[in-house]
Amino acid sequence: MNEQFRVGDELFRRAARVIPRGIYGTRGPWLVVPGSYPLFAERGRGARYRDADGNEYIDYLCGYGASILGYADPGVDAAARAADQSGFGFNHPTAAMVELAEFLTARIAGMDWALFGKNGSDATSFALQAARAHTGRRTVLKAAGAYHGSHPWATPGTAGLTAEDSAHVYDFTWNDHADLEALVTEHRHDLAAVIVTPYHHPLFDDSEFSERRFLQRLCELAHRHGALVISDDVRVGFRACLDGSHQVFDFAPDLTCYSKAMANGYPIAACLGRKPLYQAAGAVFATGTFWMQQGPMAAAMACIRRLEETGGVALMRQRGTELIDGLRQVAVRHGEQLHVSGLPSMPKVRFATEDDFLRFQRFCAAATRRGAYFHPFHNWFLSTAHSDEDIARTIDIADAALSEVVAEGE
Amino acid sequence: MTDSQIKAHLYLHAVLPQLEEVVRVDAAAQAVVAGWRSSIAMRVAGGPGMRLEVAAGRLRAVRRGRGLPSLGLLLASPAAAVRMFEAGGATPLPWMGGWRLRLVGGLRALSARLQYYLKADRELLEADGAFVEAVLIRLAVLVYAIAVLAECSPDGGGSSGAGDGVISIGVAGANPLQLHCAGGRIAASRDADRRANVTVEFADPAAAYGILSGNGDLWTAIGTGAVRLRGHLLLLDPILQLMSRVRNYL
Repeated sequence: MNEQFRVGDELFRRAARVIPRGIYGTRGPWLVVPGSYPLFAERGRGARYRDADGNEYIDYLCGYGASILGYADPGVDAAARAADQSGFGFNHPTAAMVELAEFLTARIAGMDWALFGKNGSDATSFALQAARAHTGRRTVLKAAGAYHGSHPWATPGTAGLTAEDSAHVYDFTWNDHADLEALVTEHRHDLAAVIVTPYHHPLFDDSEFSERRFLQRLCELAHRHGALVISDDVRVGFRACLDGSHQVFDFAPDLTCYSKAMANGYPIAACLGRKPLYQAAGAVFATGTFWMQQGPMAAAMACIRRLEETGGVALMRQRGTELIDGLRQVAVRHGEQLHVSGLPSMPKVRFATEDDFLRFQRFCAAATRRGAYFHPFHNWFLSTAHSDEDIARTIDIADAALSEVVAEGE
Repeated sequence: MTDSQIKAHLYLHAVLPQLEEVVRVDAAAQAVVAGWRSSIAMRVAGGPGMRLEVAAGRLRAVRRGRGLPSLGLLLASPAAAVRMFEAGGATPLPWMGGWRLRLVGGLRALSARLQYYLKADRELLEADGAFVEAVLIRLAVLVYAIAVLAECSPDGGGSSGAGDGVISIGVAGANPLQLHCAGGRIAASRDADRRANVTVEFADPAAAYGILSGNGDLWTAIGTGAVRLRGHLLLLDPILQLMSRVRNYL
């Protein structure tokens, strides 16, 4: 046992007795390096949080992208508290739902209606059903390796599933025009939708932007055959721009999905769509006991307004660029090269000289033990709360961590 | 494949090859094969085959051998093979060298030593000073069984989707085994002679014993550091799926 994580380790042992795997899903220890990473958080503020042992981290995972303004943002928290103060869990939605739908449709380009859930999976699954309801077709295409949530049709897991769960869902290779065209042609008579992220950001692999107008071609093909395009903007949303990432990546989806950063960590997801899909969306049976809770809705409006007021997107881009530039210099000093892909505000980082993460994992673990939380496989996230001081401190930590890895050798 | 066919493959291609290690580490097994220069072929009608080559005090398990074996044994069906391995309830028919009673008896004695390492409880193994060896042999069965299950699955057990690479599985301080994944096929190797893309390392024999005996949970062990994963974890996904299926058969 590493003394640095003694309390967290004990919590994990307790958890494992009563919770399958101790911590399930992507937050479980298997994706990081147990002994070098915290497993339980205690509190956070801004770009930093403390684990159950009181160790502090400058966070570059940001709650898997949810904390876009930093933890415990006073404005967002006050909005959520104020909304919930009058009670919640009512038989009905409150005015907050209408206000948020108006707020989002006024901002997200091309979208005329909105519907809410709690997690990204709620939004993507709803979008898929709405597309099927509208087209009367079954087939959905997605990019191989893309993550569209944990529901059975999309999950990368295998346990507890049947082949029927993902029947009618087929994969194409991102940026492979010929593969996409062949798949669309093959399924054109039953094609309900193509679901894509604004750029490809698979776990483990490098992020890839659309090349040779891939997304535009995808929309053209789908629409030509009467199918819809769903933009899964759950991860990128509000980090590339505030009016829908499709604006930045220049494609025209019919449905868009948001969650993660939209309320700075408060549980909410949204599916937005174009007017012609309004009837079909209404026909889909969609409900959840907590889906209309007003606190997260108020938090979403406060969060997006705050991003607007502070120029949050540009700020995160700038901080991300500073971080990556600094890390590149550190790497060069140690005879190493970084490979960085994706947006500067959510960079996917690895060592250029390896593709199996063996040394990069050690580097991330060494940095995390020293107080800069780097995930070895997932893309990182910046928030608007990351300060110049945080970035400078992170680069110092990275320097020390890389020294350790180099000293250890292979 | 039927369950019996899969089990027959597992017993012949995952369990029987561990006689190599038993002969290497076990004095009683070494005494059995001392002076042998022989080969024993075992075949299951409508199923797998395996050949044990013994020379200079060493035993080597190979799927195909050259020439006629010193002793050839046939099991009438996969179900008969399963009965033989699980309960000694079926007797193989000698089709070659049945008169070589020393080999027949020797094979029986080797099987008993293998059974000891696979079945004896922890107290007995520790009392005999054979705990570590037994854990390593049981781990080898698991690693070989993963490859066999992939081979027996129509889709390679999902291995085709994970990409090519080398997976090292072992106990800290001992030579690991490797799984070589290439083109949707998985091969087990006792020689850790290639650079691993991902490693699974049990912190000590007790940690491995806990998982192998079904008393411990792999995911909890990962969280507590009793099992350490390093490298390209995506490659592990189908391996862990196959690993969880092994217990359905063995």
